[in-house]
Amino acid sequence: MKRQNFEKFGEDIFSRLKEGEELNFNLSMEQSLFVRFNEGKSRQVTDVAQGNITFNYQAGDRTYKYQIPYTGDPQINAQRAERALDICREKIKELPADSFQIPMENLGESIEEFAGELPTLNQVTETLFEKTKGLDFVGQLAMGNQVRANMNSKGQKHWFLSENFQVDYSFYTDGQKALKGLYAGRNWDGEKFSLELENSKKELEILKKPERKLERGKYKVYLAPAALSEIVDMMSWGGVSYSALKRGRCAFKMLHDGEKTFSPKFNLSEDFSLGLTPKFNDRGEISPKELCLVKDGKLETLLINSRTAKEYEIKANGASAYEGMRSSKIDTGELEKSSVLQALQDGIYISNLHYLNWSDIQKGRLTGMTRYACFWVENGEIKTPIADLRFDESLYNIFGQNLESITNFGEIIPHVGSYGQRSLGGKEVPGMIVNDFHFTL
Amino acid sequence: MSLDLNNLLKKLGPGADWVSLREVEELGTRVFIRNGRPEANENHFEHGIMVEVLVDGKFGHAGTDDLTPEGVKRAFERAKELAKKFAPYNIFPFDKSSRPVARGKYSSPAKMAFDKMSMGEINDFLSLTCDRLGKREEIINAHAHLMLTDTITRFISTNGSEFETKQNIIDHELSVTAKQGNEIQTRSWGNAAQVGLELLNRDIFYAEGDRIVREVIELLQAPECPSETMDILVAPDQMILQIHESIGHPLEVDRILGDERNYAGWSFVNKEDFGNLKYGSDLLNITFDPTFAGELASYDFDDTGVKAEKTFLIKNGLLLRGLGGIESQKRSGIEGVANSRASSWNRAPIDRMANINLEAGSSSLEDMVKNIKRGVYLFTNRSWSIDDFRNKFQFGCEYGKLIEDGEIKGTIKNPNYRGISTPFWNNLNMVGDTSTLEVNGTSYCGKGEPNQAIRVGHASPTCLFKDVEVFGGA
Repeated sequence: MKRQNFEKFGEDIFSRLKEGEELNFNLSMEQSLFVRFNEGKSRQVTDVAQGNITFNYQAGDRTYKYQIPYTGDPQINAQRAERALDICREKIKELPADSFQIPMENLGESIEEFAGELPTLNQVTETLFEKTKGLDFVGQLAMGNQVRANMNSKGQKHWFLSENFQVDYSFYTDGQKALKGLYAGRNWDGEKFSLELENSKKELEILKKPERKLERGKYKVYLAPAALSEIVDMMSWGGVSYSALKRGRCAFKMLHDGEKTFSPKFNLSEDFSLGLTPKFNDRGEISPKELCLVKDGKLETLLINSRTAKEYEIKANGASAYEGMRSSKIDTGELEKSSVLQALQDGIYISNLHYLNWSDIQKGRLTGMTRYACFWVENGEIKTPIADLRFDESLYNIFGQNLESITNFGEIIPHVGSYGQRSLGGKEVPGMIVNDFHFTL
Repeated sequence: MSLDLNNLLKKLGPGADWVSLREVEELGTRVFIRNGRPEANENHFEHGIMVEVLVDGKFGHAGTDDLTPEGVKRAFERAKELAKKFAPYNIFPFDKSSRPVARGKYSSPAKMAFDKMSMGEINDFLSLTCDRLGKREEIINAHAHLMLTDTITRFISTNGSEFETKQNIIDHELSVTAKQGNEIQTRSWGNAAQVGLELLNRDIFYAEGDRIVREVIELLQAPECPSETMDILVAPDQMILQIHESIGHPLEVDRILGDERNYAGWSFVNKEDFGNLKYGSDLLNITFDPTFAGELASYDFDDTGVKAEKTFLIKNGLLLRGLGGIESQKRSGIEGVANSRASSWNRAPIDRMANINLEAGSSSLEDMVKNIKRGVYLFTNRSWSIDDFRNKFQFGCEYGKLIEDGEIKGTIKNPNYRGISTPFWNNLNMVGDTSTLEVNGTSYCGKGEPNQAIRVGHASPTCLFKDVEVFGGA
């Protein structure tokens, strides 16, 4: 994963371009170790070395994309790139004009490298298996290097490297109740993680109490940061995208049209100062360090990429092709951690949510399940775990009239997904007390 | 260009009790036309190899796209190192019997190869189709999408396995969104299957396009779906989700064993339920069938070399067998199937669905409609959610029809329903005959740590369920 090799690769391929041809490409590469465990034992262990490079080739008013593997071998990469360029030239002849093609330009250079100190295999086995003996411990450790890079034929260059780890885990009780945890970072601290595990073991005790089955209906709830994170994820799936609005599938439409507002307490932004993901997008555009999306409950802007901007003749704001949030942040409020249960008084403490989906996207209504350690709270004290409940509720209720208070602390929750490759990015979210949260099953 | 796997395997050297190489080579073509204009014209090519070793009863995996002999050798050494290091903490001591000898070749039943149409011709086909979709002034968005995928998997092992799986896959979708005042509705048609370019029949695409345009316009004026407990008649393009989420996933034995509890979830099904649990009514017959020609997840061998055969999972409503590959079978003692599959060269195989089908019954569509006093007829999934034990589900559909006194009445919008898996399947009241059967598939079943999206197929007739909680939009 050498930046110099990548830049040399780019210079070589750009030197082969003819007049009228332009090329932008994105590199995605990783060397990852995945250690999967169940019942405190090793289920699967997999090492992956992979890379791919996506050519975005333009000739005149036509556009074509081609993705090929990119390995650590410069000679093989050069051969593949040469062949790929030939294919680009062949294919583009057949294609119609691209009405919303964005001409390439040099949007600058950037280098960000976040080196880390990853655990050795001995440290991994000691922490995951020796310190959890006798416990029903399940999940995955993922660690290694990730690279995202971009170059174009106008001279633009971006490079982002992150060395990091994530232990995404759950502890289960004999009664099938679970506590969820995530230990993630760049510098492994075995003692810190051991302490987290010890705390988790203590918290398991409350989960051993008999569960309470609640009737469907409306309850006051505390959405812990991990639970709120699931709802924020939904906003990137037909919520904050301008293109989604124009295509008629946007949960923020009523907010955009001024028919509804969120609570003045609610502020949402893209905040790249978190350092979780590259600031450049697939065109090499640098996003603003902070972009406010919702301010005091009112929509400031949706995410707009350059292609959308050209189609609808508006201004782009550095969004990715997908127009989803890459590094989102919800502003904190005033509720102190020690006051959460008192503020909730009688209601449900929701630590996590599961499998969300829009039940009526036009009205911003979504459904999902409670998951892991969720509790019934009475007189400001945690009483018992609850049987899982299904909710069906509107964003305009959750973040609008029913939003009572927001915690004065937030948690950084990195993306842990690994479909095809390990994800980058994440979010910083607080907890929230919400009234009349609607449970339906 | 494919690799000389025999030669690579010979050069790896000692140190493992068993070794396999699984090479995957995939070429994809994607064309997306929106509102008559090209939005994406893309190819992707990937080629890599997974080295799997068995050392001290532990499987170790190392995937690489460095396909030089040195690159594959490095992966082999890494896989051995990992297997050895983690063997003392192994969840189960496996041996070579977990990788049976498999030899053969499988090819999709495609008649017209993908190279018989250029990308330009595909653009023309989809553009003309898309133009028809967008003619009404109410249509604010129309798209036509096609993805062609040629995948070749080659597997070789030190105990004599050597097989090849060639799959030609087409994913396609037409979609229209219409707006009138504040009302916005979407209607779509699509599928994924192992098929060749013979699928691109202009008459069929035009007819389906015309139908979804007609239906989306109907939805703009339609009343909300009523909210009450009533019968539901479920079309195959919604049955795909119903089978997938509330039968397929709960029967995965790795879920039952707890492997997925930190991500996809557990299961309400226990080991003791096999042979005992009345999962559904007597009319419910569910098969695992990777031999169904043209269905999306058809193959001869899974990624551990187990021969794929049609098998009943549920017969006359009784749960018989789980969706467990050879490793899960050994760990659990539950009879399983050939479903240990990996999404690509860079992931290890885990228990997946493949083709899970609901066998046709004997009722005609007319008979089922006549049997309904008050109910809704549901088409095309648009929303899906279920809990981590696979009990409490809620699904939404694009399009519905009200049924009263045995007759199909007007169109209704925003139909949703919710229920709990086994009570719901025990309310299965009538199962459509083969005239109502459709074979559907999706390329995006997600599961596993690390995550894997895999292709699954679900053939189903139209089915009638009694006493379901139905509701409309906000």
